[in-house]
Amino acid sequence: MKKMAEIERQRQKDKSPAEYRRAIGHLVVDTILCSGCRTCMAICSLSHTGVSHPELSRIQVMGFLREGNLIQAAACLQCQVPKCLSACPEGAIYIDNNTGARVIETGKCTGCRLCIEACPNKAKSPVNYCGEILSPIRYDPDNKVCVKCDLCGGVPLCVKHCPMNALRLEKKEA
Amino acid sequence: MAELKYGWVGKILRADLTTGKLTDEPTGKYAPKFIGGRLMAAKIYWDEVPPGVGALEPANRLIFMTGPNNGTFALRSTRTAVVTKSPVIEPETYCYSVMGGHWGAELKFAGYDGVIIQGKAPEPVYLWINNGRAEIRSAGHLWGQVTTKADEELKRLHGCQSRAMLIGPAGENLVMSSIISTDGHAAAGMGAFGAVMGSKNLKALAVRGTGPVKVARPAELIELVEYTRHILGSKPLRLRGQGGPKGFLKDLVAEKKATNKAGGCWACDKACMMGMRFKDKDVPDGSGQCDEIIELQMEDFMRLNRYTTPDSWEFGRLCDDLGLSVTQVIGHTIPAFSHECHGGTWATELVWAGIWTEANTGLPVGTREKPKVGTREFNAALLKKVAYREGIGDLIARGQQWYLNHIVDTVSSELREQAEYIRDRTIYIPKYHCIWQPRMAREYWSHIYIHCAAHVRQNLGQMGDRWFPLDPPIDVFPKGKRELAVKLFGDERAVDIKIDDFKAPAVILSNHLGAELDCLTLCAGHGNDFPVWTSEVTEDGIGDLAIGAKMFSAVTGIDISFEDMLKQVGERCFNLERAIAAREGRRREHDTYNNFYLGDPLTGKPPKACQWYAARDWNGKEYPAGPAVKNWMNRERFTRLMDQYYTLRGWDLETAVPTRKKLEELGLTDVAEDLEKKYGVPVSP
Repeated sequence: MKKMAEIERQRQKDKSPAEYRRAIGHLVVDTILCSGCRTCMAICSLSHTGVSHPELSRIQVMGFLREGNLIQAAACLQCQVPKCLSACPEGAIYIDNNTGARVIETGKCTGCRLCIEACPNKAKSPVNYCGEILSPIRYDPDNKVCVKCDLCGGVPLCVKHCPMNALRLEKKEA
Repeated sequence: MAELKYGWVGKILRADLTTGKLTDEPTGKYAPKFIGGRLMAAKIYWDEVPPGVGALEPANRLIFMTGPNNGTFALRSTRTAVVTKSPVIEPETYCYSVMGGHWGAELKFAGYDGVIIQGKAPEPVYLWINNGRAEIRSAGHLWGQVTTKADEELKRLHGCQSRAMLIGPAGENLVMSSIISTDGHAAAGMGAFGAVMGSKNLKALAVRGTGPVKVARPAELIELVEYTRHILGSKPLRLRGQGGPKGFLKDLVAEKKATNKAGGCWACDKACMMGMRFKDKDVPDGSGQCDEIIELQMEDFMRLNRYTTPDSWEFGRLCDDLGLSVTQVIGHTIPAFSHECHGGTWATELVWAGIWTEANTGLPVGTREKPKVGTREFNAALLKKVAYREGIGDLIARGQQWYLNHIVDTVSSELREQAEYIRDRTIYIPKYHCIWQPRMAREYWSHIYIHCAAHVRQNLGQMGDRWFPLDPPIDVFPKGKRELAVKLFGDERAVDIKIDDFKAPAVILSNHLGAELDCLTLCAGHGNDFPVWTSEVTEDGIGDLAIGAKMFSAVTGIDISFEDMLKQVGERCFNLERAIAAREGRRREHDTYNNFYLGDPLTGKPPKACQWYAARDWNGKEYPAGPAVKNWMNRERFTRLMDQYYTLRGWDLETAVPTRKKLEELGLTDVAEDLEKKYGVPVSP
C-alpha cells in the first residue's frame, strides 16, 4: 500500500506544469473591501460540515480592528503546480474532473499535515502581534483529516454570501 | 434539566475571583426556558444578586451571556449581554448592556455560553478561556495600561485570533462612565460596567476557541439568512453611501494619506464600523462604531460647523484607550449637541455662569467670554483627569448626576438657580431617539415619554428597541406602515406620532421585540434592521417580525411560533427585569420626570425640554416651536398614558409591580412567590 502511494506521488511529481488540468478559477479576497465579519467562514464550515466551525473553514480571515481593520486572508489559489498535491504521501489529493479544484479525498487522507506545510499561500498576522500563520488547508483533529477548498462544485458559497462583495471567483484563462 | 443538542454549547463558566475557583455549570439549568442573552443573565441576576449587595462589592455578579444563535451563520448573531448591578444609577440597581463584536462568537467556539464573575481577586488578574478550559492569570503587567496596549499584549500572548473583553484605566479607577470594550469598537457602556469589572480586580477576559457550534437545520438556516437579507434589502452601510468618512477623514482618504475600511461583527452584513489607517502617524489608527463616529461628526458640526476633525477622531481614540464611553462623555460631560439648540454644553454653561474657572477646575476652560470647552486641549485634559481621578476629575468620575448635584450643593447662593437649571436639563433622555433631530424629538413625545419612564435603564439611554414605525417618516421605508398598523393594532391612526392613541401598545410591542432580539443575541442596529417592521420588497410593504423565532428554530431545532417567542422571551424578559427592579425598590413614583420634562405644575408653563429641542437641527435648519409646544406633555396627560401602559402590561396601577397573574402566565411563579414572601414586595393578584 505504502509503495503504491510512493509510486503515485512520484508520478505526480514527475508531471510537468502543463500536464495539470487548470481549475476553473480560484478565490480572491479583496482585503480593502473585506469587513472581517467572517460570514464566509461561517457559511463554508456550515455547508461542508453541517456545523458552524470557522476553524475548519476552507477560507480564513483575520481582522485587526485596532489596526484600522487590517485584514489578512488565506484562500486556496488552486495552484497550477499544486505543492500540496505533490507533498501528499498518500496520494489523497486529486484534481476534480468538473471544476479542476485540487481536492482532498477524505478516505485516503491520514492527517499527516504535510500539505499544510507545503502550501505556499499562507496569511501572516502583523509582526507586532504574534506573527501567527494561517493556512487555507485546515486540519480537523476530530476526524484526523485535512480539508481544503473544493470550490463548492463551481459556485463557491462564500462568494455568494459575502455581504461586502469582497470575494470573487477569479477565472483562469485557458 | 434540559438536554441541549444544538445552538447552545452547554456550559457556563463561573469564576470566583476571591477563591480562584473556576467551575463549569450546565447551560441546561436555564435554557431553553430562559433562552440566553439578556433574559438568561437577568435570571442568574435574580437568583444570585439579592438587594442590599453593593454594586462595587465582591458579592455582585458580572454576567456575560451569549445566546443560541451566537457563532452560527444566523444573520447578525453578534451580541453579548452584560448584566450587573450598576453603581452609576441611584440607587444602585440592575443594569444590562448588549454589545456586538466577535467576542461572543469566540466564547461559543471556546465551549462556553456565558461567564459569571463573582468575588474580588486579591491582585489584578485576567481570565484566559481556551477551548473548554479557563485559567485565572496575573495581570500585573497589564494593569494600568491603556486598552490598545493591553489588547496587543494579550494577542501577543494568546495568539492574534484571540479576542479580549477589557477595561482601561477608567474602569480600574472605578470611574462611572467607564466601559468594557472589545477590539476597540464594541462596548458595554452607560452602566459603569468597567467600574464593576475594575472593582473585581479583573482586567480582561481573553478568549480563543476552535470548536464548533452545532446547528439543527443548516439548510433551513442558510435559506432563512438569504430570505432575511432579501427582505431587509441588505446592503452594507458603505455600499449605501452612509457611514463613510466625512470631513478631514474624507480629505485624507482622497489624498491617499489614509485608508478607510468598513468593519463588521461576526456574521453581520451591515459592517457599521469604520477602520482608519493613517500614513501620518501623528493621528492614531483605529476603528469606530458608526454612531460613535456620527456623534463625533455631529459634535464637530455643532461646534465648528464642519465634519470630523483630527481633534474629534483623537478624542474618540483617547476615550477608547482610557476605557471611557464616547457616548457618555459627549452626551453627558460635553453634550455639544445642545450647543446650537440650547446655548451650550453643561460644561460650557458652567463656564458661562462663572461656576467653572481655570483656577478652580485646573482645566483649560477658557474665559466666560470665550470658553474653550470641546477643544483638543480641553478634551485631552478633561478625559485624563476623569480616567485617573485627578483633581476635579475625581468629582466628575462619580457620575454626572452626582457631580451636578454636588455643584448645586456647593455653589454660592446667587449661582444656585442657574446651577439647578443646568442640572435639571441634563437628566438624560437618549439622544438616539431624541437629539438626532429636534424635529423628530418634538413629534416623538408620548412614545419616548412612556418608554423612558418605564424602562429598567430609565435615564441611561436605551438603544436597541427599534420603534414601531411612525408618521411623519423617520424611517427608511415609506410604505407598509399603515398596513402594519391595521394588522397589529386594528387602526391606521396608530402610525400618527402626534396623537397619544395606540402609543402604549406600540411601546410594549417594540420593547418585547427589542428584548427578544437581546435574548436571541441578534443585533437591532439602526435603519432597516431587526425587527423587520416594513420591507421594500414585499407586496404590501409589511416586513416579517417572526424572523427571530424562525432563526431560533432553525438553529436549535426547537419549533416555536412568533407569538410564543414574543411572550415567552420578550415579555418574560421585560417582566423579570421589572420584578428585579421592584425587588430593588422601584415603584410607580420612580417612573417619572422632573419639571424640565413635564412642565412646572405651579406656573403651568410648558416644559423647557420642548423649547430646548424646538430650535434647530444639526443640519442648521430652523424649526420654529411647533406641535410639542402647543401640545406639550403635562402631568395629567403623562399619568393617563402611563395608566394605559400599566393596564396593558398587567402591572399594578398603584405600584407598577407586575401582578401575580401576569408573572404566573409568563412562567415566573417562583419569582412572584419570592417577591412577596422573601422580599416583602406587595404583589397584587
